[in-house]
Amino acid sequence: MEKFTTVGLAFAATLLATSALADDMKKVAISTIVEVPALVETKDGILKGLAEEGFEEGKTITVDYQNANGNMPTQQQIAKKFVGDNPDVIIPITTPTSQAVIAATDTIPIVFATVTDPLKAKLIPQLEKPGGNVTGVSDAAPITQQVDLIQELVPNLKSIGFIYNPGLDNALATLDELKKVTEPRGIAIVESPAPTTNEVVLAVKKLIGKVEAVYVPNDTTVVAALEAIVKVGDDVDLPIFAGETGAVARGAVASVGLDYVELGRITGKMAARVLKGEKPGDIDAVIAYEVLTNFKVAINKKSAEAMGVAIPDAVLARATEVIE
Amino acid sequence: MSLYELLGTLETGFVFGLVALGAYLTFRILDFPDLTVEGSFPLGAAVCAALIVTLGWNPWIATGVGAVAGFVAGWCTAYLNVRFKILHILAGILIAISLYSINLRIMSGPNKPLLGVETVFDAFKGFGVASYIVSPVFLGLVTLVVLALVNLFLHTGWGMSMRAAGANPAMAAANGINVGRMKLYGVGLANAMTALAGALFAQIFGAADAYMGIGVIIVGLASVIVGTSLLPSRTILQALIACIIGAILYRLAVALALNADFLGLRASDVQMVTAGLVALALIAQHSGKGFRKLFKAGDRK
Repeated sequence: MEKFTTVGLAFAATLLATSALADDMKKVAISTIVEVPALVETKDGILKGLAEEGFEEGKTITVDYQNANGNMPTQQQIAKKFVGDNPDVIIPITTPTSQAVIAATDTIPIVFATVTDPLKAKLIPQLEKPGGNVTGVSDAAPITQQVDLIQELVPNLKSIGFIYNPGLDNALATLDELKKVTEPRGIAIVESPAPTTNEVVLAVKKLIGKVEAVYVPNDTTVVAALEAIVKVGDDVDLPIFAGETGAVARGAVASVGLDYVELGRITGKMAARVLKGEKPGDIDAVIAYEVLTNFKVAINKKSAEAMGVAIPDAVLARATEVIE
Repeated sequence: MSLYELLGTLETGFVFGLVALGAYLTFRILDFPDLTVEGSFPLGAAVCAALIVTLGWNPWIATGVGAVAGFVAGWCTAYLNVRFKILHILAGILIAISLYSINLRIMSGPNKPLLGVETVFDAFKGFGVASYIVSPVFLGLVTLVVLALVNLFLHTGWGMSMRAAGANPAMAAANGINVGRMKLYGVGLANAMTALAGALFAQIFGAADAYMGIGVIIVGLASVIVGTSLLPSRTILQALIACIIGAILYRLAVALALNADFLGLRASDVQMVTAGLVALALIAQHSGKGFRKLFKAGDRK
């Protein structure tokens, strides 16, 4: 039957098709679950970091870069493809990608990038010398630098309000981190839980008069109502800070963010160490904000005026993004 | 393509074979376009992961409970349609959307890792066979068992009533079949299979993720269409087998797309290449001669 021949040929091609990977150069496999600016910047940074250590694409290494387009089963197939191709190092970007790759192999070296909490995601048992074949770089929010910025912009800071969804593990983890940073400085945290987006405005209003600033973490439930929070902040002169620089364009007064190209560079350098022979288990996993020196600082001047915040010149000078 | 990648493709193919069986049951047999699967696939994964990780349950029982959760989700969709006369597509969408939030609650977050915990695949570690061979074989067996059970069911009195209810509801009702009840159980069963697929997939993937459901319905439908178009599907058994083979062929198409960088294609072109291959399969099925006609323009009458 002809239809079988035609289709049969097409699918036979599947079995014979192989990606062009030369044998004498080292092989690097990179994968991401989806392409959004932060993740593309990470990939660019990784290639830069590798090149700085002498591993240039096309000259000393071949790079197989795959994008799962948000599709988990495709991500699974990519993970299996990588293992079958036997590269010298696999660099998964983001948590689900890393989980799929780690589930697929426990021998090929893996250096993950842009994973918020590698311990919670069960990628590695501990940060120092994780053992095994996995290490990498975490993009956990730079809480220390955030609190520094809040103190710079709000000189009379005594307590920070924290709005969050108590049902989300990430938000609870951020709260713990925040307390660890503020307690030694004598700053109190006033928690205001908002289990659903509709309760967010109430949660903000409860904080009025009790705090000098409000911090909105990377919590999807709360961030969805950011504009409403900003409006309350504008009305009562309460500065609203956010955990992601994107929120500053939406009205938050300021935020400190990670430079994802820099994060990628650190990952690339770590991968270079693996290519030179080190075992990933012997390389300490890193939290980006602890080793980076440059951060992205976003300031919203309009919000600053509306919320009664005076921005010192020193802050403006190091701001990477200023919204009028 | 390496053997490893081929076996990985088979693995995913069998998992989505289960989804395709569910899609066949709803779209073809019950004539009930069911979009709940976007929510029930991750639901099965979420319930299974939460039970294994948070409560320490046995993975086999957890997987089973995941499937039951899928049944409940499907039941709710059909209930909205049968009792409240909400259009089937809308009912499915409503439940799928709600399930997204429900899954976040179940996992208390968007992701629940299943690395380093006991999964159903650990039961086979003692046999000394590499896990990358065991997984596709085990999943293939599960899929075949489910296929056999569904085929058996569709030939029982109840199953035949379900087929009648889908083929001609008015006639079926006239013959005393409770069409509404057939929908409730049918859509429930289909989503139980999808949730089972989700639970199994989470265990090979290494995590249950709230976004796992994206694109599942398209894959399921494409598998059914490709399978039933290319392979003989006159009898129920042939059609069910065709669905599973369709799912495997679809995953092979994705694998080809992933390996096609020698054609100058980029990673983000995977979706387009996959669609192209599926379209090729559908064009070819109209008739082998039709395919040649496409390239020999002069011969058209």
